[in-house]
Amino acid sequence: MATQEFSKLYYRTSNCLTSDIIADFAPVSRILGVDTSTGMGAVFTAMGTRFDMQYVAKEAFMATDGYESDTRSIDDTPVAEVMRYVRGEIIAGDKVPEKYKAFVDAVLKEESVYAQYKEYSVGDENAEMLFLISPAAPNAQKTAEQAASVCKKAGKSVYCTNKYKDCGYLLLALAQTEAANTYAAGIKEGLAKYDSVITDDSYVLDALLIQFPEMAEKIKFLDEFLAENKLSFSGTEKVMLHESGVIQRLYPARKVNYSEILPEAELLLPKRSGYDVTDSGIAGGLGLAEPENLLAIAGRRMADLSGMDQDVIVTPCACEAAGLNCAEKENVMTLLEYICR
Amino acid sequence: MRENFDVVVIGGGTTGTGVIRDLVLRGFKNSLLLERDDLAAGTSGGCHSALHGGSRYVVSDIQTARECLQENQVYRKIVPQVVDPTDAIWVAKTDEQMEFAQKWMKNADDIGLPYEIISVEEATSEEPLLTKDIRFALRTIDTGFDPFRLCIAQAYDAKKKGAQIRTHHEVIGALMDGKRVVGLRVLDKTENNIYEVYAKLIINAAGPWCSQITEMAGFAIPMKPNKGSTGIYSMRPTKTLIGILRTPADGDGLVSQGFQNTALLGTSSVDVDDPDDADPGMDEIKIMEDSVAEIIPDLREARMLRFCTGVRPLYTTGEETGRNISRGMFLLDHEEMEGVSGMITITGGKYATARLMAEVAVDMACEKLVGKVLPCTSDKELIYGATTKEEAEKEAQEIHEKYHIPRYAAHKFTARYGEFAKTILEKYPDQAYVIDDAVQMIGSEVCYSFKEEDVENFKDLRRRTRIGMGQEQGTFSIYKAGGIAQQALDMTPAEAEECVLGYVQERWKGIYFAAQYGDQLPLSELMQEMYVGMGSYDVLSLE
Amino acid sequence: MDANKNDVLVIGGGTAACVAADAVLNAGKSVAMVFPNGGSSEISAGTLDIMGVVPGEHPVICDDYREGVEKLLEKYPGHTYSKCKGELETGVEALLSLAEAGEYILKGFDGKNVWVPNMLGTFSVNAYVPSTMYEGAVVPGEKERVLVVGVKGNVAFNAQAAAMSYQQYQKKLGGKADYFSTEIQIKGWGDRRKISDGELADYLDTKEGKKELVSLIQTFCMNNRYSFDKILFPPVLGYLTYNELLAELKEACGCKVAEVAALGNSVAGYRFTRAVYRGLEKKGAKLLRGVSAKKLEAAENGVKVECVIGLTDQYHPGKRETFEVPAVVLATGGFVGGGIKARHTDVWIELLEQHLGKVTTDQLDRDAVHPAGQDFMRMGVQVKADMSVEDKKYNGRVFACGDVLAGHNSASERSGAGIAAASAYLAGKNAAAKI
Repeated sequence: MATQEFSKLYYRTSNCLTSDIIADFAPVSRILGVDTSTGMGAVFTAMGTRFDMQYVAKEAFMATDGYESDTRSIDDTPVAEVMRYVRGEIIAGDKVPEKYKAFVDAVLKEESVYAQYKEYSVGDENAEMLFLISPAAPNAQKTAEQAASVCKKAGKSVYCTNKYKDCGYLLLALAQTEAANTYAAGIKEGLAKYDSVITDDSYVLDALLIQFPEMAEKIKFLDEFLAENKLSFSGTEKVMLHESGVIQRLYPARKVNYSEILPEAELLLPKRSGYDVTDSGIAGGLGLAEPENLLAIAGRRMADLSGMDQDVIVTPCACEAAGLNCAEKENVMTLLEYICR
Repeated sequence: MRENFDVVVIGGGTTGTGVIRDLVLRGFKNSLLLERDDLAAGTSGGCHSALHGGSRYVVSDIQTARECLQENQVYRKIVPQVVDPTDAIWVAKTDEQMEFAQKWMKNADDIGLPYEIISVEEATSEEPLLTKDIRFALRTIDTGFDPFRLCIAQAYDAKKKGAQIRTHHEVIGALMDGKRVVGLRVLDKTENNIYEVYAKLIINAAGPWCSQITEMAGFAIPMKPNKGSTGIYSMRPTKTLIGILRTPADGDGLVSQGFQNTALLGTSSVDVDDPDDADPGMDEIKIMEDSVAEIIPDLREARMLRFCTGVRPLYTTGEETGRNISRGMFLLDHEEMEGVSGMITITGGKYATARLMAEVAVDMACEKLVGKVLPCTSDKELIYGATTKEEAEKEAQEIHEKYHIPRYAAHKFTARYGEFAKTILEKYPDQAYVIDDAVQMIGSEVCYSFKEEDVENFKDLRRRTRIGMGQEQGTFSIYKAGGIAQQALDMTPAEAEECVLGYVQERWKGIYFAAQYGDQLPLSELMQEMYVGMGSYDVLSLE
Repeated sequence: MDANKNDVLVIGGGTAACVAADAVLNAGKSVAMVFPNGGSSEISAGTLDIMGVVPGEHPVICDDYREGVEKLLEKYPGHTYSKCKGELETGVEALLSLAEAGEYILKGFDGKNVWVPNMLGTFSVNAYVPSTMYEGAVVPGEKERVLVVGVKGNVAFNAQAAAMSYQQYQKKLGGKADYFSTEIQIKGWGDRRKISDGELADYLDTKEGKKELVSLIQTFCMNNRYSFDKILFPPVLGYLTYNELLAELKEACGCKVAEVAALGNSVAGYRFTRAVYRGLEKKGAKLLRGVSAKKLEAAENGVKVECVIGLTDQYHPGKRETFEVPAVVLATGGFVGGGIKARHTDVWIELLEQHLGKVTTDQLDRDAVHPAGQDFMRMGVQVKADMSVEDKKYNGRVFACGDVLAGHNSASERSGAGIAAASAYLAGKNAAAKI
């Protein structure tokens, strides 16, 4: 169950001394410039007054960095949480800027924000495993086929679906905790009956782990599932890996050694990797509220990823792949796609 | 050339600046204001930043409450950009407080003080950090405001219309003709030059230093300087001003500072001998925090940025001390009282009633100068730069679009300067960017303040722009202002260093106390690393 | 995310923590580092200050840091250096080689201190500076023509004011250079009015960014009757590929090129810490980033360290895990780094639950830049000669090093990196001996 108590958040911000430095690391500030997104300073100052949230609405909605800024906070300032809170206040005060209104409405109505999303389910509903297809996947059917073949290798039956969309991720990102909790209560049964719940969308993973901590053991990211079941895949290519920021920052205990999964491949990491990995800007869909920003950030990340003579660029997160591919540079494959090629 | 004025006002606080504004509005343009430091450097700068609506006094001092009620409405009308309409919520928790609340409401009804009873649920949902076990809450009209900006606005209102404002000019002696004060001896502290001015009337508005002035004319007056300590938090735990419904005591409430993201814990009341020697009392702070923590339980989690004090100009004719003296205003006609003509003193009072104090002082001045009271319009005329909220918002949006200044910074900027905001950026476009992230202050303001608002150093600058008053107390912004001063104001590196270090020292003064209270130690360490470890000012100073 | 039963656990992510980890590795043992971020090292200037000034009513500027340490110990015999100066050279060597392995080159001057220009317009004293700042050091007596370049809109560095200031402040240091300034405008990314260090660095990491800057400087140098001996930039030449850009700039203008020093800049500290992390990973240290130590408990033949894994907030409680290891090194930092916490009238060492009482007026000077320094900076953990904490309950298995230690004032002394290197190397060595 998600909670957003103001007191737990507010006093943590009192020790912030380094907002300039943190802001410098937010991708929107870094890539689009502080002209466009002033990020931290303005938001924290507004949070201080608490009357003036509508003046920092743009900054709050543009904070699509998913905890990237938090990693630079040496005084333990909960940046992502603050931005989320401000978005929530702006929605509660009916002060959503015009350009974000359509996006916010869609999320509140529990519609998918991904243009190509169409509900798709396949397989036996009583299978052992559940595979949740990313709502950002360009071809849900293909994803399902790939997932099924991998599960078959592990000797497991699977039911594949995208009917739960993002599992309430965007509702959580907009601090609509009540709505998110209601949504979660509604899908709980549908998840509980399976031995394991797998996904290759790291934002879906995040939403599931937030809402169903009691099921944490059986909820797995795709790469965890592969490593646990000792599945490895051939191929001697040079693979440039775009890691999942969600895993690196929020769930580092779930990190997987990719040379176990791709033993023969030459794994390349861009110069900024690991804990410092920068995301595509899609932020579980929030990035779609302002497509120009998403394009700039994704483009910049692609510049990092295309630098090193690689044969292919792979990311374990299907949502990230969708985000990176918005930039329309080199094609980025999901891990699932890659191992099934 | 002998300088002859109609009136010379001594004191650049809210009383003095209010007086000179009113004088000019009534036609006495040939007036001079002398302030030994900067506007609002005295009591007015150390106040609790609460524009009282009367709530605090409605039971204990109904006359003052009436005055506050009237003036609160006036200020909201004539200088909206300085008054942040946060309003107030007053709460009751204990049985005594519940009883007090009944008395409060009865008196409030008697004087017409507007209030609205709200449910506990509404109060705690609007203010999530209020304790859930309050039993009663009402909303009323006290509000936060910027005490520096109001003095500045009043002073420049007068200046724009022809009066002279001289800051850093200290009155060091009175010129007497028998038992008549005919002028003053003044030290210009910027050039260390002593000169004389002559006036038909001197209005002594020197706050707790009033007696020091009258003693120059041969007599003392019974001032009882009384110190109030204030703690400043780095955030606003409550949006509105919060008060506890009880007989006024230490730590009655938390004032959310107008337009800023700070809150002030106050106030205490301790008699002192010397109004210049008033360090904040650590014990006082603790008592106040304990008191407010009753209604804002996690208050101790908030970080105390600094402490400061304001010394109240209490005047007594009897033996009362401290809080029991009425906060009423006192207008002293020394011709009647001590047989010394040419000088009157206006003292006592509260910030919230300063305009009224100025009014009565200028009424008397009129009688002495022209034999009759000219009509006062200071409660109707808009003050220097005042604009409506709508106009300010429109300009803020335009500024945001044109200069790419964050929308929030633009909002605060137009709130600070009203109609002058746009001009400031037009005059100094090269510095049109935010240099202090914690208060959203714009570089152009440095240029404007020095060139057009009589700023001599960064301490003065801070009163106009709030530089260095935020979370990091200027650690990263003070040097940037120094850079602008060199680049755009022709300051030499030595002059810039004086400003920069002078202000670092001033900030350190407040941190010196807060550091003993623990919360500021990381910031103190950071400031040391910045200005000593990196800046090397301890060994490389140009002094 | 695992620490071995035979690992030394180093708590912290800054300079001291990294040197301690290196010492453990050099002793042939294995090490795991747990840290949420790089602490105050992450916002540092990326230089190494070992002993710059002996504080006092009459401060003594140290020309040579080794001599400086001796002078300091004469005046302050109980100083932190008295316990660990024996490991200073080794510790500094360790730090230099770790950084180099991560492609961050620090250069020294044979034991001498140098003064480098900074973004405030003054100079700072250091023993080692990165390759990007090396050529900016003041050469006393040298009549050089120095150009200070600012980027229009970059508020953090006012080149014109800095040049005017350097002209004056250099005098006390024997500097005889002539400082000029100019402002360039970066246009490749469109029209921006205010520019942060971070966005500049990110842009200059790209091919287009490098090309634009090099071409601007080249053009400036070509149609200019004045030639310059040295060009100074703000520290923004890239987060990752700064060495390349520096080399290109040097070629383009044919003279010395350097960045100035900055505190609270997001670039310099980042480069330094990340390079050292890379160096440590190459040597086989386990870097458990994103893991915060929350509690220490003595155990049989070791220490239990309760940690939280992952960033935490109300949506993310993080994963709790306890590591049981034979020895622990605390390198958690001072007040800024978070190793020493303070709230109201209580000051305490986090993780040791050791209370230091409150700061009194004896430990504070009203003069913010008093040359004797602010004594509260000397607060911290007391340790024995072997750097283990005094508290008996840990049985000598918990060591401490760096800014968390009592007995030094890194700001007034300019000794932060030296203290970190020396104390950490000794602490790490002794912790390794516990296995």
